[in-house]
Amino acid sequence: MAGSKEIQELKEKILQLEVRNKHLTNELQLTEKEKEAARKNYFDIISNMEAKVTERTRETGELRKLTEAKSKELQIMLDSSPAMIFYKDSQNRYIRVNKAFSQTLGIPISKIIGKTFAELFPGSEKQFLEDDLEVMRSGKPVLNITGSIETRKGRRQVLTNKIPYKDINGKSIGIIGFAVDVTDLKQAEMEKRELEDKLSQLEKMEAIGRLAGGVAHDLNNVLSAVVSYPDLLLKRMEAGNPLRKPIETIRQSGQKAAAIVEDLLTLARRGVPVTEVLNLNDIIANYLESPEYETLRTHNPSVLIETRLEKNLFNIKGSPIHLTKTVMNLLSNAVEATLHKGTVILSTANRYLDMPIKSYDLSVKEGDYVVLTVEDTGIGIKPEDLKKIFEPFYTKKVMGRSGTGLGMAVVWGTVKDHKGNINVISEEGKGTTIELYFPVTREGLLKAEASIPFKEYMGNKERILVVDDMPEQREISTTLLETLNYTVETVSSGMAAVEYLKTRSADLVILDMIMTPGIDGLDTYRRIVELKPGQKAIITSGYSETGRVREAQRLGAGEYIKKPYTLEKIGLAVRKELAR
Amino acid sequence: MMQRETTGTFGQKAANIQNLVDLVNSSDISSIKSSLSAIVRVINDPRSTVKELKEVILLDPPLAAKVLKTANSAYYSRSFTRVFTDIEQAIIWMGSEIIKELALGQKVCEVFDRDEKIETYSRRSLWKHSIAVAMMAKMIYRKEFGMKGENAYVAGLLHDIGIIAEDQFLPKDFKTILRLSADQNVDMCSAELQILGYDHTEVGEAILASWGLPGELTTTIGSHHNPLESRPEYSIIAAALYTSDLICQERGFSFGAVPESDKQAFRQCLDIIDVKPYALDLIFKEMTAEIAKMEDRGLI
Repeated sequence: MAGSKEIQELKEKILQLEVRNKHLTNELQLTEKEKEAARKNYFDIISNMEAKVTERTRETGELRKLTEAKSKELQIMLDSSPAMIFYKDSQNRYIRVNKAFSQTLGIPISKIIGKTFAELFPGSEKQFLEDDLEVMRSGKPVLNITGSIETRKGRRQVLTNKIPYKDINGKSIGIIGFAVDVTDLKQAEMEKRELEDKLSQLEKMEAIGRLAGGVAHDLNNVLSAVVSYPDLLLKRMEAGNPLRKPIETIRQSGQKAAAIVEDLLTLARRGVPVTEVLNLNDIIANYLESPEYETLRTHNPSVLIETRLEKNLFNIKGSPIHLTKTVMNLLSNAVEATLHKGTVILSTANRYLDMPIKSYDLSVKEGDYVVLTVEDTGIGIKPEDLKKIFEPFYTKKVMGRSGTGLGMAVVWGTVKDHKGNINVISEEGKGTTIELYFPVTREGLLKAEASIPFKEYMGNKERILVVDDMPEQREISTTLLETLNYTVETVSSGMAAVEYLKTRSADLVILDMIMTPGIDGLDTYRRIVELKPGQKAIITSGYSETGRVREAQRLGAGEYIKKPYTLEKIGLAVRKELAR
Repeated sequence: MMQRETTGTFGQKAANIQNLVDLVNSSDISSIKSSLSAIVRVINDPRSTVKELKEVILLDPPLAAKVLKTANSAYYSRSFTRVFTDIEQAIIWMGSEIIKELALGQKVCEVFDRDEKIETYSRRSLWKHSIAVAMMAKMIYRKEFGMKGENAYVAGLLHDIGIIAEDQFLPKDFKTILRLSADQNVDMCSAELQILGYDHTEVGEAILASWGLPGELTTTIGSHHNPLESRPEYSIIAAALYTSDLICQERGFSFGAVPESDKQAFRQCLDIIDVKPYALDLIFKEMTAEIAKMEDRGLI
């Protein structure tokens, strides 16, 4: 039955379609469920994300606070550094600097940030920029760059280290710099080196001097035969004896050797007590009358020797033999330096030093000095030779011209033994000036001077207040004034004087002009006249009269006297002021 | 071998199986244990979320990488124009079912990696067989029952893990078994019983039980050659697995062993799952098409 077969086939087809339908329906349902689940998951995740965002925002806020705190810490660290610290970007613009940087340059931080060095300092050295570029380019630090910058305190030497400023990937994005002001350090170093040089020079000369002296003792014995026997031999020889000539030569050489030995012995006698009170003018006067000077003059007729001796020159303590040799050696050197044609000036002067001054050897301390100056218009000394001129046997002269080679060494030793100082000023082709500073002594003063009779300026127990910052000066003033029958009080500063005069009074104030530290003579006098209008006063100073001295006199102060003062000078001035 | 058979008692046999399980658990194979059981746990927990699945996969970085790579491969990403850069994205866009399947596949695949041919057997063909069975079983669940069938998929993937254990740790015996099966034309289980006194279904069950997988899986795998003896609550999954296994072996997804041909059991299983032969054919055809596509994309 065909129909039933077809029905069977159709049934089969329907069955198959049903299966497919079932499969598709089931898949559809599952897919929908999965879609639903996915959507739910999606929403879960989205809402989860919102929570995450809130969390992250909070974390970021905390992180920012932390960063700010760290940044503040860093700034404190940077600002605590005495070195100048700066960060620059790749365009050389400052992006961060510390307080030291801003203060040294005297520019507020806000005006530095974003600027380049060249913008801050137009016309500045290119060097800095080149270093920056080098550091940026190589990615390596450049250290110990020396340079100078203009600061509020003036031009300063700086030592700079520049280090590449890198991002986390190691790429150079700028530089970090550390600069230290080394001006003071350099200055101190230079001074130290100078001092060390001088000290070693001193030691060297001392050592050579001692050695030379030691040799001299033995030499002298050996020489006596050479000096004495030629005379004996010559006496016994006929006038026409052909051996006379050589023997005379032996005698001359012996005498020359003896002169050298004598100088050596002078050196060797270093350290003899220099306690005799003497006046340098007398030493010079004696020398000028000596045969040695006579010889010098006759050998150098075209050299003009001038003497300018200060009247009332202070006394010093010393050894007349050594000082005479010193004068002689300096003078003969000066004459020789002129190459027998020129001028030599020999002078003495009283000088008071308010402040230490630099000299050839160590610096000369403040105080009263007698200065011996020998000035010539000779050939001068080269700077590089200047250091050696006091060394024994050092000479620039053609050997054998004259002298023993020990002249200047004797000068050196003498000055040192007299606790004096030496100063040498020389210019090649123009001449040389040698100054010897000898400390003044007050001993033997009274008998030495007084050209105006004492009694004309004796006091009558008037009260005098001496204001001076130097203890020695106060002592000298006291001695002098008490000798002149005054009642003396001393104070060591201007303020102390003002205090003193608040409770007590003085007939006269002797006021030092330059006092350090503290207020000077003028300021002191200003305050004094506020307290005691018309207070009588005398102004003293080692310097010449200045505007400040004149200002004080305009306010009512009396005479100005230059230190160092003699009994006569101060006595007359006091009398005059008291009588005013 | 015969000695073992004759002297073997029940206790002896259990001890032999345990020996093999111990070997497996001290070998590389057990490295899939933690990720595998974690994924299975997610599958069997109705309250599990995307986050948990993501965490399970992320705990195993090589797996996560493989999952992402596979998810971005042409086979899976056909409908997506984007590249997935993290697991969460992939789960949202592809759905957790696909990702679970993908992760399982990648994980289980690890134990099939070394290719070695013995007779007509090779691990590669065993792996392909396992995938086919897994997919077939899953499709039966989806199309016929309207259920996800994820456990059926896992069961399919793992049902022959006992064979891997024998292949790797009892290579001599395993060769003997294969030869015996081929020479005498007996199915594999019978050959195994002759040589070892136990078969790969027992070994598989013991391994997976030692890994803490749920009873549904271990029991089903343990009874995949005698599904009718399985526990009543697992009769459907057992029947589905048996049906899939048999049909795959018969129709070109065999791994070289002589198939069992118990027509009676097969018909009874079809009855249990209530699937018409036509429907089975249809499902098989679709499965074959999928496998072909995956193979095409180099995923198998």
